[in-house]
Amino acid sequence: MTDSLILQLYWARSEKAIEESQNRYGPFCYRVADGILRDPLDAEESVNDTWLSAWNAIPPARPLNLKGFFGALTRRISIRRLREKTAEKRGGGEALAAIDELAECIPARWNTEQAVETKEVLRALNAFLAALPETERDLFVARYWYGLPVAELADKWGLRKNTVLTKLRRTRLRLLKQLEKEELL
Amino acid sequence: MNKFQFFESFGEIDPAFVTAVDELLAGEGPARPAFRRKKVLGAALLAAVLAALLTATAYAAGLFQLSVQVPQRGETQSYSLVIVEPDGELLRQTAEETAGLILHFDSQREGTLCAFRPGWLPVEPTRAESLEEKAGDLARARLGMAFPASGEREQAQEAAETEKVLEEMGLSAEEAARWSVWCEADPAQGPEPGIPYQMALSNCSDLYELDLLIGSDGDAVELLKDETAGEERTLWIRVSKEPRPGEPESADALFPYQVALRFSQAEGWLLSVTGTLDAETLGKIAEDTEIRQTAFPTESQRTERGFGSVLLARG
Repeated sequence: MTDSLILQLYWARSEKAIEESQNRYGPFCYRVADGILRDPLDAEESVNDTWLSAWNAIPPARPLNLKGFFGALTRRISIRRLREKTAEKRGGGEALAAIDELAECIPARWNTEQAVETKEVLRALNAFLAALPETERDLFVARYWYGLPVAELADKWGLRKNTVLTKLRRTRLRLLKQLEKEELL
Repeated sequence: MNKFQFFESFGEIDPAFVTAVDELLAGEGPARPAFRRKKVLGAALLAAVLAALLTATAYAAGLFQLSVQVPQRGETQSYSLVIVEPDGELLRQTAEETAGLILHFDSQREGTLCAFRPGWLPVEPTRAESLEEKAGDLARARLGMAFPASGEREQAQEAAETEKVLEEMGLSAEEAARWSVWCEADPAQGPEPGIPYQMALSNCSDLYELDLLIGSDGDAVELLKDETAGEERTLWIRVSKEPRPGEPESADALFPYQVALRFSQAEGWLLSVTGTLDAETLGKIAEDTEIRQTAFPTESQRTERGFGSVLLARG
């Protein structure tokens, strides 16, 4: 079923929308959730929550890119779940490591007293990613969007683990410099 | 901004970056060799996309010895569309996902004469939007907004950016109110080879966009014959993934590419090129697809990655 037909089902408030979403994007959303949570049960729950959130959001939302929309929802829900797990000290090691690494890119001036516009950050992130070479960009997204372990990236891209680590570190440094240069305060 | 907020912000990046990685992750085996292959094939594959698109857009522009007159108010042009394709299965695959047809019409809100309906598509178009809405999509892409603006401030920002896009496209508010009809093929009702489908085109404006005549990105769409009998024209079209001389053996990797060209038929100007390619490639497409008999103003160029665009203002 095409995206536009699935959207039509949501707009018509047909519960088949959820079934079709699961059929078409269930595996994708599961990959996103599992990459962050590393727990099959939690991942499944996140995917189920995704359909519920989508049901509540559409209408009025009319996503231009349904896959991206579901992916972003799943990721947000999975991170929320990860935070809850962290609070309960129930693990979440790999994704937390990715979160800590990415935090290195936050300029020191962005403390809580100086509010930073999320939209501006997003614009800067998109511009930064667009300017990256493909391999660096894909590795960066795989690590910090999907939260995948470095070993898995090395295997998938046919690179040595150290090479992946180096590429990621260099990209993070470039991002930090870029964000500092943008002065988003 | 704390680390979780920053990580969450990263979650809202352009979906194009995310889906590109998903394709690599979902595939079997190491991603890198496939990546290389894609890169090597890139230029040649792009040529195939352009061939398909140029056939479609050139047809609309009246090139290649085809003259499509813009119907006058109240006038209707009738066409038969015959798809010549020996492999029905391929065509059904083609109809999935991205097969579609986009035309822009002059809005006649009081009148009802605008009509376009290929026979295999649902009676009602699956989507209709004005050029203003389309400009809104572009504006959101520029602003990095994944979804329509919700907050008051965000809406104002989106409106201002939309106005800017319309200005760059050289469209007045009145012109922007023109409507497009976007028909997407339902795989269950996909076109069958050899069967003529009726198509009516009525009272169009001089500004319209033909995104893909038929077929997925990367399919070769070829106009084989254009027959006129009385008031009825029959277009014979072949949709194919077969390699042409000089093209790679497989065009499977073409699917990520999608480019739409918008131009003014009356003035022969290419107004914009949008797509999911990088800005440099889009710029090249804009140059390559220059409608040669007219000057090509490039005073105002703006490019973006993701839902990329190259906008060329009217001089």
